[in-house]
Amino acid sequence: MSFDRWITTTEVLEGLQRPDDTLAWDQFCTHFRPVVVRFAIQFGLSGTDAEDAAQETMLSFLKAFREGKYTREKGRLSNWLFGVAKRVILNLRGRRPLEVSIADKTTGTSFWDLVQDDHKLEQSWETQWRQMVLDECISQARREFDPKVFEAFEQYALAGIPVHEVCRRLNTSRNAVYVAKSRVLSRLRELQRQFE
Amino acid sequence: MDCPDLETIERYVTGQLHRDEAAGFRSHLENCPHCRTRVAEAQENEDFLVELRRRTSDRPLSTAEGKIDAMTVDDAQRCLGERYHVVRKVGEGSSGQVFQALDSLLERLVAVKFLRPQYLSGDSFSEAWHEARLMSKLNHPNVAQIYEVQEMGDRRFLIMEWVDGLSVTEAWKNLPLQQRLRVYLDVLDAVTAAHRRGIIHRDIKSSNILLTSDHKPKVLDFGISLDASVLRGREDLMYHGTPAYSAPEQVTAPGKISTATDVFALGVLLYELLTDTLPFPQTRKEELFRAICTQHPELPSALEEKVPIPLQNICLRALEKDPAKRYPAAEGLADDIRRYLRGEKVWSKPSFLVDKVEQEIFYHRQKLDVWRKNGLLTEREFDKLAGIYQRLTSPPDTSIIEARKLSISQVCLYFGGWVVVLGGGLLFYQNLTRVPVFWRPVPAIAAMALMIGLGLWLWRSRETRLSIGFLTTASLLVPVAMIVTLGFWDLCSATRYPLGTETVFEMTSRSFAEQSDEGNSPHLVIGNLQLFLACGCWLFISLVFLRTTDSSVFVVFAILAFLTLLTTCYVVADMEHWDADVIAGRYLYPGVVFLAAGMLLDRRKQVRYAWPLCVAGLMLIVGSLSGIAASENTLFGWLRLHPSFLEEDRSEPQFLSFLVNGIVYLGLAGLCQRLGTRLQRSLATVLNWLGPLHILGPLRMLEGAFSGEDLTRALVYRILLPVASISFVFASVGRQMKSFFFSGLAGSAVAVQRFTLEHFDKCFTWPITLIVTGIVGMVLSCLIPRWQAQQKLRAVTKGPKRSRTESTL
Repeated sequence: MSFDRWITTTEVLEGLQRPDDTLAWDQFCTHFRPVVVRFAIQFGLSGTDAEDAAQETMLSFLKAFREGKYTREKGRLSNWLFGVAKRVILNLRGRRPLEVSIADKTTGTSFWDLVQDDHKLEQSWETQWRQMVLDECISQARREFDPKVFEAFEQYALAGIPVHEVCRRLNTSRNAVYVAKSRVLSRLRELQRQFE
Repeated sequence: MDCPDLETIERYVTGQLHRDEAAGFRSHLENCPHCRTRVAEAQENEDFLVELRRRTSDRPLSTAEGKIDAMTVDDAQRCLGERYHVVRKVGEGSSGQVFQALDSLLERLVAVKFLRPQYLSGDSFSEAWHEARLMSKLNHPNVAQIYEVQEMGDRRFLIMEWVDGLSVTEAWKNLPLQQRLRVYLDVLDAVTAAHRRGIIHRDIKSSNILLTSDHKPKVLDFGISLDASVLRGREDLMYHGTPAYSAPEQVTAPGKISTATDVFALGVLLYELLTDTLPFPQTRKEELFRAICTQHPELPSALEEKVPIPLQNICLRALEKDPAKRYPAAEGLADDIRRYLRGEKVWSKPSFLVDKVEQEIFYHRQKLDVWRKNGLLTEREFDKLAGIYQRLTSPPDTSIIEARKLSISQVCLYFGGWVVVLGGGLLFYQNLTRVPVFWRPVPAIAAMALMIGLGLWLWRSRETRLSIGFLTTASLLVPVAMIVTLGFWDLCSATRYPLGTETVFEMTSRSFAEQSDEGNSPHLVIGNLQLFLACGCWLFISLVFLRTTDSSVFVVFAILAFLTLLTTCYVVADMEHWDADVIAGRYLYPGVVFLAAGMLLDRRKQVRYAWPLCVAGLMLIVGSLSGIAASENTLFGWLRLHPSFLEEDRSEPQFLSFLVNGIVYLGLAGLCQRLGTRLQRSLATVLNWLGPLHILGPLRMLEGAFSGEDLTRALVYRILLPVASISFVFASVGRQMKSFFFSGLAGSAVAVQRFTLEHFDKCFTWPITLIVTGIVGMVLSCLIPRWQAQQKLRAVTKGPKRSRTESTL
C-alpha cells in the first residue's frame, strides 16, 4: 500500500515521537512491516507467526526509538530493523519445535536451514530491503511523472531499447528521451535518499 | 564551443564519444562549471542506473508491444488478497513473473505465476489459459502441481506447488550415470503424462526441472503449455522458448511445433546429462539458431569417452533436425532409455550417421556390380551381399526384429501361443457328447477374443514385441474358432456334400471315428462352405493384422489362408469338374496379370508392392497350370492339340501335361533370371526347383504307367528319365544351379532303381558297372582341368601365329 503524498522516512520517524500521530505509525507499518513478514516467512515461520513477528518487531522498534536508543545518526534504519527483526524471529522460532516450521513441512530441507550464518541472513535482508526501497521509489516516481515520460525512461534506461526505437514507439524526439532519463533518475535518487 | 546537449553528455559519461570529440568536450568542461555539474550528475545517475538495472534485471519492464508489465511484490500482494503472503519475487521468464508466497490457510509455501498476456495474442491467450486449466488437472508426482488458476482484473495467475531444490543439471553433477538416468526417466514420465493429453510444454530446460533433496525431479512451468491440436497448422504463432533448447521447427515455423519439439529439448537435456555441456554452445542468438537448424552436434563420445554408444544414439535421435525422424513423443525416448537400462539392445541410430553409412553402401554396391560383371562374385554371393546391404540401409522395424529373436521370453510367448492353438484345435477330435452343443466352441471363441483383445491392447500400449506374439496366436486361432463354431452350431452346412465330394477335414474326422469303438462319429464334421468361410476370415484377419503391425508373419498367414481358400474354393465350387478353359480364365490369366504387374513394379523399384503381386501371381499360375493338367481336358485339350502318338488313356496326356508345365516353369525361370533384379532371381530360384520336379516326376510316373502294358513306351520313358536326370546334373554347371544338380541326382537314383528292377535284377555285374562308371567319372574330373588348361594354352599359342599370317597378308 502506498500513500498519495510522499512522506520521507525522517518525517515518519519524527511523527513516531508523537504518541498521537497515528498517520506516521500507519506509514511506518505500511512501509516496513511487509519486509519483516517476508523475512520471517523465509526464516521458516508460518504466516500467523510471521505476522506476529512483524507486529512484535514494529512495537519493539517503536519502544526503543521512543526511549532514544535509535537516532538517524546511529546508522541506517534498515540495520536497526534487521537487528530487532532477527532477535524477535529467533525468539519465536526458539519457542516452536522445528518440525512445525513451514519450510520443513513443505520441502523437507529449507534453504534457510542451510544458510544459518549471520552474514547470509544480513545479505538476504539487505537485498529485500533495497528491493522494497526501489519498488517504493519507482512507484512514487511513476505517480509523479507524466506517463509518457516515465515510459520513455523505462524503455530506454531500464529495458535498453535503442533510442531511435523508443522515439518511434512513443512518437517523441531523441532529446525528450534523454531528458526523461535524466529527470527520472535524478528524482529516483532523491526519493531513495529520502526513504533511507 | 556551446554547452553540449544531453545526448553528448550521456555519450561522454558512457564512454561512447569519439576520442577527438571527447578531447574537445573535456576542454569545454574545464571552462564551464555548469556543464561540470551536469556531467557529475549524469555520472551519478549512471551509477545509480547500474544498481537499478541489477535490481530489476529479473523483470524486463518493456514488452514487445511497449506496454509495461512489471510487477512488484506489492502489486502481487494486491492481486492475491489476504490469503497469500507474498514473500519475494523469484524470477521472470518469457511467459510471466513468479513470486513465492505463503498460503496462510493451508500453511504452505506456494509459487504464484502471473502470466504475461503478450507472449501470445488474442485467441491464443484464451487457448493458453484453457490449457493452463487443463494442466491443473494433471496430477503427476514429477510435475509441479497447479493448485489454482485465478484472475484478478486483467491479471491472470497460477497458484503452483513450491519446489525447493536445485536445477537438475547442477544437482546431478555428483551423481553417477545410472542415477542420472533414473532422474531423467522421471522427467520423461512427467512429460509423457502431458504428451498423452496432447499437451506440449514448449520450454523444457534444465532450469525448469528442479531436483529435490530426495532426488525427485519436478518439472515446472507446465502452466503455459499448449494443446497440440490447437497449434496444428497455425501460422500466427510467435517464437516461444529458450534458444539453447529450441528445436529447428520452433525457430523456423513456430506454428508447426508438436510433441517432437519437446523431444528435442529432452535430447538437449540428455546431451547435458552425458557430457555436462550443451550440444549447441553458441552464445549469440543468431549463431545458435543457425547451428540448431543446420549443424550436427559434436558426438557426445568425442567429448566424454565413457559415454555409452547406445545412449549417444538415443540422444542424437532425439536431436534430429527433422521432427519426423525424432521420437514422436517423450514416451518413445523413455522406452529406449529403459531398454538400455535393462541391458537390451537399442536400435535407434542417428540419421546423419545412417546417411553416411548409406553413402558408403551405395559405393560398395556399385563395386559389387563391377565385381559380379568381372566374375569375382557369383550371382549367389552378389545376392547375399546385396541382401545384407539392403538390411543395413532399411532395417525392419525394431519390434519386428525383437519379435524374431528367440529369447527365453519370446520362446515362452510363442510356445504358449502354440499350446493355445493346439488346445483350440483339439476341439475337432474330442468326444464332447456330454457338453451341450452351444458350449462346445466357446473355449476356442473365448481364447480367440482374448488373444485379439490383449494383442491390440498391447499394441496400443506400445508393447509391440508381446503384441505380435498375441496377434500371431489370435490369427492362428481364427480359422480354428470359426471351424468349430460353424461345425458345432451347424451353420452354413448346406453344401457339406456337394456332388459327393469330401473335405480333408471330413475325411480325417471319419478316420478318427472309425478308430473309435462307438462306430458312429460323435466328432466334428466340417462342410466345404464352412471351411471356405473359415479360411476367408483367416485371410481377412491376417491382412488386418498385417496392416496394423507390418509384421511379415502375417504375410505368411495371408498366403497360407489364400492357398487354403483357393483349395476350398475348388472344392466348394466343384472345380475338379471344371473345364480347363474355366480354370485358365479364372486363375491362370489373373495369375499372369499379377506376375506381370509385379515384375513391372519391380522394374520401377517398388519392391514393397511388387513382391506380394509376384508371389500371388506365381501361386496362381502354378496352381492353375496344375489344375489344367489334372483336368479332363489336360493341357493338350486346352491348347486344342491332339497329337496322334498319345494314347487314348488319360494318364499319358496328363503326365505329359505336367512335364510340359515343368518346361514352362524353366522358361519362366530363365526369363526372371534375365530380368536380373533380386526379386526376380528369387522367383527364378523357386521355379528352378519346380521345373526339374515337374519333368522328372511325370517321366517316372509315365514309365511306371506303361510297365507291363506297353513295353516300348515304358522303355522310352525309362531311358528318358536318366537322360533328363544326367542333363540336369550337368546343366547345373552353367549357372551354379543346385536345384538342377540335386534334382538330377535324385532322378538318377530313381532311374538306377527302375533299371535294376526291370532289367538287371540279380545281375552282379550291374552294380560293378555302376561303381566303375562312377570311378571313371571321378578320374575324368581330375583330368578335365588339365585338358582344359592344354586347350587354353593351345588357343593362346595358335593366336599369334594367325595374327602374324594376317599381318603378312
